[in-house]
Amino acid sequence: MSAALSILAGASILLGAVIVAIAALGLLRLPDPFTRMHAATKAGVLGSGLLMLGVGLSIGSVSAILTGLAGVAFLLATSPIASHALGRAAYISGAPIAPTTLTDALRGVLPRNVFDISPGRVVRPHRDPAPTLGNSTAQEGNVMSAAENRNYATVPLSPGQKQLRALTAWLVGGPSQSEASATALDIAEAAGARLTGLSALDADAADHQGPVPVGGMAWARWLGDQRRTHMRERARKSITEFDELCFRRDVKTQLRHEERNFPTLVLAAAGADILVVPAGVDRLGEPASPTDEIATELSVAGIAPVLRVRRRPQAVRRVMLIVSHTPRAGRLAHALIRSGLWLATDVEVTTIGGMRDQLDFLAREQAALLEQHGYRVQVTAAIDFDADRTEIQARLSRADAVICPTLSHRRGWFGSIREDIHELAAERADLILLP
Amino acid sequence: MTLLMLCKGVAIGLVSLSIIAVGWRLLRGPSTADRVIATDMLGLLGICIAALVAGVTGSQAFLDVAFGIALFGFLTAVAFSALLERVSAGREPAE
Repeated sequence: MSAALSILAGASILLGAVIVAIAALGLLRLPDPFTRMHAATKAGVLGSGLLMLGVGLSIGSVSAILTGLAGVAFLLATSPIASHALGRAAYISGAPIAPTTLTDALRGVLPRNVFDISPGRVVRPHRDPAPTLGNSTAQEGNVMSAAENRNYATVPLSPGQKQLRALTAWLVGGPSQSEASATALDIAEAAGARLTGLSALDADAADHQGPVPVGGMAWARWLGDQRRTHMRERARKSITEFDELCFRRDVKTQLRHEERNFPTLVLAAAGADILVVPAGVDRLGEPASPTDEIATELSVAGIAPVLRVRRRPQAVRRVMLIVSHTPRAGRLAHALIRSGLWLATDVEVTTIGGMRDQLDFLAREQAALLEQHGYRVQVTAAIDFDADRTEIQARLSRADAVICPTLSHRRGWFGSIREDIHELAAERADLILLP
Repeated sequence: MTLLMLCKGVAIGLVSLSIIAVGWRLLRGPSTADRVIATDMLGLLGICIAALVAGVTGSQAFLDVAFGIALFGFLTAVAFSALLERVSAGREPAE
């Protein structure tokens, strides 16, 4: 074998191996299946073709070189077909598209499935315990010490900093879903924030077979399947709707569908600055009372401030901030400032419940914080829980948005009187921000 | 000749590293399409391995093996993508 041939063989083997390694790196690091496919097929074919050719050259016999050449020709002939078929299948199966993608040229040309991530995927158990999710008993918060609340109220926040970077719209369906999605889009567009539509399906609820599998396991499994199909149908509807709304809007959006148990689903929303949640539905998308709503559950989980939307607002001019006697009541002003919502609006700070001096302190503290951040603040007379309900609701409906704590508070003789301003507000207000 | 062997050795190392990367993608997913693409890429890596074995042992039969793997890899990719398309279109996969 001549030296030149040997050098050529070595160079092409080395080059081929380097290109294959780059292709594997691309497969590992690129953001979505489409870009990964591009790395695997183009660079992979070039690399392995060069390797075959190089090995053929290094063996040196005519038949070996011919085999190498034939291999290269075959790879070059077949890889476009294979990659085209793979890309088409990936698109139809609804593989996620990276958020940096500018246009989707196949939109409306090919059918696209929204469910791709397999529901049977194993979720690795999380080491630290999931955030405490309130069932109805855990929601009965006890009174937070004034010192603890004071800590919240006086933590400094740097003004002028752009706070709202990522929003998550929780897609569950129900009558308010389209309003909530539209509101989330409005907010994201105004703030230049990234919007993630998270369609979250509670896998436990779908599989739940009751305490006794009535009518045998097969029947219970069939029922579970029916329920899951039903939930998926609803998810598909809200995802399609969200997709339609996002079309031609100047927002960077992303869609996700997750089927997991509820605590893991809540973790999937972590990282968002605000969760936008439709009102009046529970985690399965069924109508629910304010206590069992998904908004309440997410707010109790404490991942991010929750914006509960019943109707899309025209404009928010008056915001009502209600300080009550529950944990997190000191965080209300923070939630507003941190979320960066409704800048420079009129904020009415009011209190509800007993123990006047502590509440007044909290209200004053938060009013000062809001004023520091450029809101026009007005501290008004306390709401009396024992007053007429219609009067309270009239006051609530004067505001465009309400900020109040989720947790309820018991007072009176052995806690016989339950106060929950959130439940009262939920009946009336279109927008509620829950810290 | 030693230089050529060195080239082959380096190539073997690089291809092995690539297999780890692609295998991780295959196990991790997250979507089915990712796994199918990783399978396709594993086929290409199989070609590389067969070719390198041919280079190290000097027997030309392994080069033919590489050619065979290339043929099968193409068929696998097309079959997998047809399956993926069919399943996601809601039809049952053909028995």
